[in-house]
Amino acid sequence: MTKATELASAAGDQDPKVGLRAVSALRRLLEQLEAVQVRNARVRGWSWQEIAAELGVTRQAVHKKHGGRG
Amino acid sequence: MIGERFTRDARQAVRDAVKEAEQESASEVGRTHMLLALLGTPVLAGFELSREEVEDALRAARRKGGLSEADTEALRGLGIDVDQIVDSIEQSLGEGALATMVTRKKRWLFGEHKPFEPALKKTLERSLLEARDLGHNYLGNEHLVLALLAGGGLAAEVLASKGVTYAEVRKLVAGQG
Repeated sequence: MTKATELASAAGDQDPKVGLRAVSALRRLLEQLEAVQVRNARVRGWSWQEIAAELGVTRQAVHKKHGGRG
Repeated sequence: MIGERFTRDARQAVRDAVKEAEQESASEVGRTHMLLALLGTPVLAGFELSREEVEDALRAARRKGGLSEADTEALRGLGIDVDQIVDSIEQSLGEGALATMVTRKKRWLFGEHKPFEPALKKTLERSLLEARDLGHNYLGNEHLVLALLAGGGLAAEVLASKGVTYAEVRKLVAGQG
């Protein structure tokens, strides 16, 4: 595993595999963070409209993605 | 219909995977559940895999929102410290805050039982190819293990971190035949 770190720092973004892997991991992390924060906002009584405004997306988009769980 | 060619053990493994998902209260049956269901299978016997270690690795990944050790390393290469992010989220939103899986819109195709994650369906399809490639006329646990290893993702990575690789298992399985 430390090998991956060495690779990453040595090759930087020169090795597409390392770079793409990081992008994929970052995207999954982002999805989780979004889900957690939206859920927290809902629990605190935020409206979909308010959440959408903060995320910079439409109310429909945020409701479609995170709705159905209240 | 290949369903008829599933060995009894392979059918049991699929049922066990569903059970693992139920015990975890997961919304879908996924590859990690299949991994847990397959740990006792003969082709993995030589690898000294302990269920406890595998569960620990899965739990650690779940706490990080499903990111594996390799994902964490890749992000560290970018200067992103996932552990620090998890700590800070957990401080504000409580322990295990990131552990709740992102749930997709569910389609309950099979009535009462939990839906299979798309990646697991792909794994099952892949297992057919593995069996065919080996010239086997049945589908057994060894083919499910190969398909898991070939598909990447957390299950394959946890296995790889314990020294279980596609190449190694393929050699073992081919040797049997």
